[in-house]
Amino acid sequence: MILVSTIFLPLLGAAALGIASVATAKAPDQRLRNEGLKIGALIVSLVTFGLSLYFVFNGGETVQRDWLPSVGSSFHLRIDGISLWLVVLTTFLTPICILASWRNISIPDSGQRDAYPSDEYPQHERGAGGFLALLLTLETAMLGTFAAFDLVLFFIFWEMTLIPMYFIIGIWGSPGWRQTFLFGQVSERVYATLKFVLYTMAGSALMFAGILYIRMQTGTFDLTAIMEYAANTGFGAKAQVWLFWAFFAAFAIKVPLFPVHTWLPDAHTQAPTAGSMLLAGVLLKMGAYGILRFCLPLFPEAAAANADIVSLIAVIGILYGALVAMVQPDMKRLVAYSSVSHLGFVVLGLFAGSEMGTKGAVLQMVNHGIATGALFMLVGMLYDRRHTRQIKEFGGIAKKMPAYAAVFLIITFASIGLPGTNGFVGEFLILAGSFMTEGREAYAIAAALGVILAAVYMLWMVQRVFFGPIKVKANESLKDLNAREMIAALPLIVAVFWIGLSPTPFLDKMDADGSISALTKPGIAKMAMVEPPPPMEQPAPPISTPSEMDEDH
Amino acid sequence: MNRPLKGLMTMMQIIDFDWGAFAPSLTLLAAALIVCALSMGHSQASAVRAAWASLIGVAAAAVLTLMSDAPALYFSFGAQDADGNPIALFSVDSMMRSFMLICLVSTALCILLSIGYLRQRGALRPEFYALTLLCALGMTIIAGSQDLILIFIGIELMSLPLYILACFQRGSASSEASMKYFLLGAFSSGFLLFGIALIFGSTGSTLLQDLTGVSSPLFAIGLALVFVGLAFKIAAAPFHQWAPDVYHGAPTPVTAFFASAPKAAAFAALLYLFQAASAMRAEWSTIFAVLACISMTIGNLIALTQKNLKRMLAYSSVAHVGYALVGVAAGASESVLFYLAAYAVMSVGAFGVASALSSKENEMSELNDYAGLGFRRPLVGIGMTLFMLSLTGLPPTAGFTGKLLLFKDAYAAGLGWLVIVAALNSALSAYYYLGVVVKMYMTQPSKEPAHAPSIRHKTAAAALIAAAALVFIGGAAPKAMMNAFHISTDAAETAVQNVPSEAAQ
Repeated sequence: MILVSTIFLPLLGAAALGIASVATAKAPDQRLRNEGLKIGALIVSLVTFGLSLYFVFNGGETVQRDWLPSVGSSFHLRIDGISLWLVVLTTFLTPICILASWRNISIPDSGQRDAYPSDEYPQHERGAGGFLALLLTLETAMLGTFAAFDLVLFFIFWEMTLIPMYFIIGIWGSPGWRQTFLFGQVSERVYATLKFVLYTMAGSALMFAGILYIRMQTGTFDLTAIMEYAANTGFGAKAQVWLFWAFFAAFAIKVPLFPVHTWLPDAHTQAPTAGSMLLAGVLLKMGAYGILRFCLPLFPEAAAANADIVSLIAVIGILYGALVAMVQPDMKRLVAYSSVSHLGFVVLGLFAGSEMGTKGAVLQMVNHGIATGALFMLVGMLYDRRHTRQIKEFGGIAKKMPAYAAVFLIITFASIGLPGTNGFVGEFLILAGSFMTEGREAYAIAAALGVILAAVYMLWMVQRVFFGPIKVKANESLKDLNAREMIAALPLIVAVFWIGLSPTPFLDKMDADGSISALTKPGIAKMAMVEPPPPMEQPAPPISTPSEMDEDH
Repeated sequence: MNRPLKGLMTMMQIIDFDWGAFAPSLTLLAAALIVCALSMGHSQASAVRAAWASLIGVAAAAVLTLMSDAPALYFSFGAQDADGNPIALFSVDSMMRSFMLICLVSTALCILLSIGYLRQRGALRPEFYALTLLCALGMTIIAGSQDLILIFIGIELMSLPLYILACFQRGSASSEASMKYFLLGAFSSGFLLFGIALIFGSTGSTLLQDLTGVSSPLFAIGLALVFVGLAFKIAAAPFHQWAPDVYHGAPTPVTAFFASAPKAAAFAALLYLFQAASAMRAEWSTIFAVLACISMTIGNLIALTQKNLKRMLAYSSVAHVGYALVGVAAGASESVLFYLAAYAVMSVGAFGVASALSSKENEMSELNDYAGLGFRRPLVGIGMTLFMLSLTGLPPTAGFTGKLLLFKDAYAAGLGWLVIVAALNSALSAYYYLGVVVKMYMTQPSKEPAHAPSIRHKTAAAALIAAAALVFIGGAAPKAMMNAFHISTDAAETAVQNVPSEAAQ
């Protein structure tokens, strides 16, 4: 019951917000109305966060109801160790997103002029009710994606995330024009949002075909039954390869991995702050989660056979993303490309074939959600003040905004993976997990270069934005963080250090119900079979447990 | 839910006639006659009365169809074969009811849309509704036919009013559309009739049950010609050339009607024939699969470049015929039925928005007319978005459930490649469907009009609300939609039951 309410409470809230906002459209005091809507959305998202904490303390939960018997699909939801932290990450980020967008819900004027006429309250705020309702709908869709244990249900939630995000980017995104083939001149944000939707849908089409093939083979859409089938009978060798790539294509586009990543910089740059935060914080994780939930356990042999190719793609993504991030003049684009690089680490960890690598990958998903979500929020705060994100427009602003600079620096360290922050734990586990797997050392070494490059592009950006003399006059009057912004940033900083200093409980909860070790054990055995000498064939788990890991730092 | 095959039929009870089973069709006929009588008085008031009378007639027929759950009945109307046994010319079974319900629901929605539209243009005349009812009657005949001649009569009874409806609002575009439709329609009827003649020549019968197991070259040619005739009627590529012009030129409520009910009825004929001609099933299945592939791809590719909403939806309709043909190729009649029902409501909805918003000055058929509309008319915007998402096939809408069912059955029939083509096509179609949403929410009109277009007639609003509700129910509670359209969901069991009894013969 808690599970169903956690997932659908935001949707209910969205419906209520939609009705309230239509009903009060002609209210005399628009400011009061909009503040009321925002407070309502904030309360709904906080209650959802509170509900989701139940799973942290009491473990997962399963719900199964009849839903579409004629197709063989049931309403099957489950939270286990793999999805637990992703669910909590989603409910944790949403209230922060609402706080971060408190003063910047505005619809640019199709980019003809600079869109934000003034920073004063009532003039530019438009469509607050719709924006918040979409944000909450998106939360339901994301939570559903992580909790669905039925392939049709998963697909429905997966596609459902597209619709709110499509509107959030397309309506509330950045100004600017671009020439397109079909619609003539459209704004940049429309181009970006269509690109995002079409890329994802092309991938989903293949996944959908794969899902139907699985139904043909197993006679069910239920993930538990399919996992049993995969473990006992298994899909044929040839079918596995096709299925693996059909699913992998959808997830790789979402992650995104190197050759299909081009939608991401556009979408991130054009999205409003809350959109970027959720896109980077949660939506990208859906791809990595899909790989872990479907590609690895359902098609283990194909996964093992293709692990090298995928790891290579991941490493290319790590290095390419880092190199491109280095030369970006736009702060948001820089952070977007850093996501390509960071998510490469996650995929590398997933295909390391060891428990350590997998746990590291799951933790790194959460870490990246926190750090990159925070970075997008911080860049958004600067954008609210100056209406530009160009690095060259700034310089020396640490003098004017000391608190902001401090927060930014902490988050930068987390993103780079400095010891003591959460980023270190995740990256370390991934790299160590890869390095300790036979035949995967080279990837780990190449990926470690990415860690160094991350420090280069992030710190170079910090240096150019925050230090040195103030060159642009407009920066003289910048105001430091206000109370609302502080409140939004604080939980993120706490999370950075909490996970960074005491990662064990987080890692333990992942495997409390054995969902990760169950996933990786056959994986280890099978991947080891691919390698000629079998040093990992001992039944005892060859990789150290998390408590031993702690002693390592 | 497959139609009984030869041999099995002899075991069925064939009766002459039964008033109860024909109640829906007779209601339609009675309503058509009443409306004809009403059209004597040539005043605006009599036209409104005719509209309401026709709506009541269609609704009553739909309710009667929905309520009846009698087992399959076969009717001979007194006809006998050489041995004096009655022969089944017409059937009233659950499949016939499903097709009837699809046709009647879309007819009712289009009648609701037409009232305001025609009145605004001073074209509200009672004949319109008499013609619509006769057309609906033709559809019910097709839906129950067990005989090629009856199918032909039904198709002609359906088509002739359509030619007139296409030019109901006199004007050059409308007349051109009607002329084009008539010429090509007559041409395709010729194909149909020629094909029937060849089939009769090769089998000596026009009964569908006598077509089972026949495989001679003459028969194959005849069947192919019949299929070509029907492909014209459903506007499957490469027989779709008339559709964009006709859809564009006809009055918008009539376009909505074209896209929904007659298409479903022609699909009924196609499905019955496909099921009856069992001898070369594999070959026909391949041909339909290729036809589906061409239809989807051509429809979607050309729709991408359209700047006029009605033309775009016309090409999208070609693509959707392609999706439904996937189901025909797979021999999955329930999925085709569900898809046709879903497509009927969502296309009536999409055309209906254009029809409801249009005024004498502004037809609302250009995509540019929709710029910025989403914010000025939020409810219309939400409705149109829902229809577009459904046409794309995104959950939770009827369009998604329809595709899910179709693709599942196509896989089961071994048409995996077609599923991949179809799924990629849906992704492609997202570009132009979402283009409408982009126009509504993410662009501004070049010059702000004094009055944003709005829905002025309650009847049109009611039609749109009903269509939107059905689209949403079809996605969120597919079972309810299936029940509403009499689509039996335990298809697998029926098929299993059929096989042993057939073997027992």
